[in-house]
Amino acid sequence: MKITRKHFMAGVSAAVLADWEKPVFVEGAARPFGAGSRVLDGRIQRLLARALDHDVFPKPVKVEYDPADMSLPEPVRIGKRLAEYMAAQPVAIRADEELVGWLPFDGSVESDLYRRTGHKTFSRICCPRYYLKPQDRLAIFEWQHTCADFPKIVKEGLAGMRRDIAASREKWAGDMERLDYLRGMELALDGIEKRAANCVAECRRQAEVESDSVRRATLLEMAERCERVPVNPARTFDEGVQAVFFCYDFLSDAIGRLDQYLAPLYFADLKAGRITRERAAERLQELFIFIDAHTPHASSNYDKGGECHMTVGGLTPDGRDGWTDFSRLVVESCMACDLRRPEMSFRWHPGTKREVLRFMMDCERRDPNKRIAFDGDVPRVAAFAKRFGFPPGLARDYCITGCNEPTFMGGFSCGGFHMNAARCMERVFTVRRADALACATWDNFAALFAEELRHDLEEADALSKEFNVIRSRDCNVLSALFMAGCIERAKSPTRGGASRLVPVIDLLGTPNVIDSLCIVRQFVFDEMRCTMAELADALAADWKGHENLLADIRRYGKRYGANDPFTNGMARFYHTAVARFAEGRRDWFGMPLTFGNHTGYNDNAAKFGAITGATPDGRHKGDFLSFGGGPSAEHGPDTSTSVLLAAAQMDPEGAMCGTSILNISVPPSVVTDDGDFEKLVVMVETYFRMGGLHLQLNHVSRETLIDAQKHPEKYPNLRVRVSGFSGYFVRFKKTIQDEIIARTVTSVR
Amino acid sequence: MEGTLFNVWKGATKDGPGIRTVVALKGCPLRCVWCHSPESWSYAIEKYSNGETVGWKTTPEKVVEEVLRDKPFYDASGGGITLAGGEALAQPDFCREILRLSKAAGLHTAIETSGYAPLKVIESVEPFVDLWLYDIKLLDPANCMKYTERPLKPVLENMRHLNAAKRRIVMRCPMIPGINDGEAEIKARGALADELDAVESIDVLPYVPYGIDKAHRLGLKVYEAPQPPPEYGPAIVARLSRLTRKPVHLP
Repeated sequence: MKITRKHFMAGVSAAVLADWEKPVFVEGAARPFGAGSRVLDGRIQRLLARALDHDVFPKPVKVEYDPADMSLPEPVRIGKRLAEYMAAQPVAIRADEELVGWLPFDGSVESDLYRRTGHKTFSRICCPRYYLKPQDRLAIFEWQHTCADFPKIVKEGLAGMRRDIAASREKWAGDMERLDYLRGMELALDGIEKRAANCVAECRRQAEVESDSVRRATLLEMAERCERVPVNPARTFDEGVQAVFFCYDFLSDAIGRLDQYLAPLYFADLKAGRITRERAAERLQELFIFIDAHTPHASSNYDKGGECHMTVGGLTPDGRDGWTDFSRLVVESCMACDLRRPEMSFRWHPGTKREVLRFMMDCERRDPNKRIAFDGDVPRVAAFAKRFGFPPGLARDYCITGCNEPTFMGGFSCGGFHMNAARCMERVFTVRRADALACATWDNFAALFAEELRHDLEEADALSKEFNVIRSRDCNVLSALFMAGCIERAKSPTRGGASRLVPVIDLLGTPNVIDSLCIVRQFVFDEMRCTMAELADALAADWKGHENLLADIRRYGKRYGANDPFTNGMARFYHTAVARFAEGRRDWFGMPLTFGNHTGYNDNAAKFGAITGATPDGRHKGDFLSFGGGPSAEHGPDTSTSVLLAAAQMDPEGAMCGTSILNISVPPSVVTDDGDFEKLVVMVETYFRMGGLHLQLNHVSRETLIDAQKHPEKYPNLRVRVSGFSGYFVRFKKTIQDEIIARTVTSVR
Repeated sequence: MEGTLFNVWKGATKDGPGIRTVVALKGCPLRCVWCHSPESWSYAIEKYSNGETVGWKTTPEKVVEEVLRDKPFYDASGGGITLAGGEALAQPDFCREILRLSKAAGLHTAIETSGYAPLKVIESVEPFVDLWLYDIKLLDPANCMKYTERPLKPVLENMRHLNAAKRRIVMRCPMIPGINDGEAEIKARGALADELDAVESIDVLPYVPYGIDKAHRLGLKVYEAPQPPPEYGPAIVARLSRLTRKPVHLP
């Protein structure tokens, strides 16, 4: 039986309906923090059902632009047309809706920078030439993730932006190019304000003809809110949520630290008796439902969830624990909805209470949609402060986007740049074969490898500049309003405007490379089980005729993840070499280079593997590369504690503070048995205490995954975490399925 | 000093408090027919039919060095080291030295034992053991000899000695359908646990057929039965709970 989307939707809807009947968070010995219950009320149920039926999209109206606009300076033309487009779009308010303003863009104007409609050159030139196409077997480029400056929207409103533009105009007086850019921004702001006025008018119009007095009152309240925000700062929680919802369309990606920037409004309302916990949950749920619905069901990405990510917990800018009862409300509200978005990253820091981590892990183990991952504040904050030179307050305010790309509210992550880290190892045994054979000591070999690694990093960096030059031809004034730096610098985000930019190169195949280094040292130099020539011949022959050596490597080879001094040292050697390369280097946008190891939505690790020769770790030519901060997928050590400690210590310089992930697969019994689960909580806490950067869990047995690959019809709802996102296992490409199956299930005995 | 191990499990959650490392010593005087680790019987390093080696020689210092790598987890969870086997006490000097070094390093120590060892061996390790995970396999002397090939008497004598010395004991009961889950056996376990004040609780360990494949690959023979259904363990816990005042768990 072929699994279709219809089949899935039918299945999920039934499950959701059945699940609504029972409470999710119940008091219990194993869940001392899990108080509360499902908060879905009838209105939210109806909205959710409508969203799941894909019946919420507003229809854009086509706008005819004046051809004479083409003679205007580029940003002014863009701003003018944006204003015309936004003013012309109808406001759709349907039954039960209390958030107003969803604005679809039709591609006729340079709009949302994340959805590519705001980056036309990228779509026209970068996509056909670079997107998912390996360059020189070394680099694959994808896209970027962003997060609007929601705290500014809530605290200052568009009025704050107007004020900043005025200041910037004074600063750049006489610089026509920048003044034109600021003019474009102002025109875009005019359009946004006109849109808000249209929303007010539509609310009032509907109120006039509404026969139900309760709904009429609600519509009038909605009109009042739209009159206030986003033009002015939000005064109440409801206004804050409306401002976030309204502005989401201008940069519709991550929503950042929602539990931080809405908390003051929530607590003030609660204290004044203007709101209840249940009412706030309802408001949040409406926001989440519409954010989820922004990704159409027809999109192949609908199931994955990375289009919107929020961050909860973590340090506040002034170094306190940011977790509050409102954070918990945000998580509970999200968990109670059967949605894919927003995904959630929980930030752990040394002051995080164990009961809070337990609560988040409890949500994670019971979330069928696998929306939650975990991040460690200590290494990330240190890296942003040290490597980027950001002030501590900003470094502590990072957020997670997409598939775990870190950035800041008002910033963007230039991730999605994947490098084949195994190519340099291949080059050592091919292009540099004679030099490899001449290595008399391990130190000689290590130096040769470091040289080749540097060579590849140089080439990848050069390729990224080529790509970014094209990317920087784009002009964007709309999303730019919500990104730090663009107004002050009076420049488009990719033309030097964005100041909170995090460039990341993802090194795919890192576990293969570290294991290969271990094998070369162990087999050739320390134990002399084979000569360098034998190893080079075996790789050239893809192990044919060298089966005994391959068997010995697989059986006796020392591998990263065992948490012993030898393999830990090798991981540190590799990551330190990467950090040395990055020292003093800046990307095209002038930001310090940082690295990661995730593969994203696409099977880039498999793509690189298919075009990379055999590697000394026992990998065959064409086999997929491993990714992430854990051990090699196929041959890694199988103990959770070793893997966690090895990963926590692998990167002393913090070079991997970009999009790094750690996948841990544990047997299902570990999360179903409350006693074992309690110990898993302690394990995860210890990992972060030791310096762990990221963690995401799978708790599906390998047998189940293999069976699901053979009989997909039996597992339509089986979700797994992949690479910073989650999805339905049976719908992934076989290459991705194979990689997940091959991941070592670490024992918790 | 050297001894022989056949496995080290890290991140163990079932063999004592907290997160632990279980160090399995090779060699066992018993031949329990249901054994799930027949590769632990011989004291020698062996090879499976596919050439894979079972067991390795090492020193107590190296063992403790390895175990200490997980110290952050022990500190956070109240865990430590658990010696198991085979029969850990069957390599008495090696076993004692690992325990002594572990205690010196500040670790919580547990030993999982059949209790079949000379009293002087028990006495020699006693000061270094925080918790005894003491197996009671069969309490009928004839059946004990029949199914384990060793007598019951020293097992009970050693247990009573530990009780008199006020050592902490968790009584562990491997439950094998049709062999030791009759009414008389269960009743005797409850009575023994109540008689010995040092027994803090009882762990019920339902039969697992993990030893069959390994036995085949080593040319050995073990009891071949299917894994009991999931409700088997809780049912035994319920039966035993009615017959003792000590807490009964399914770890």
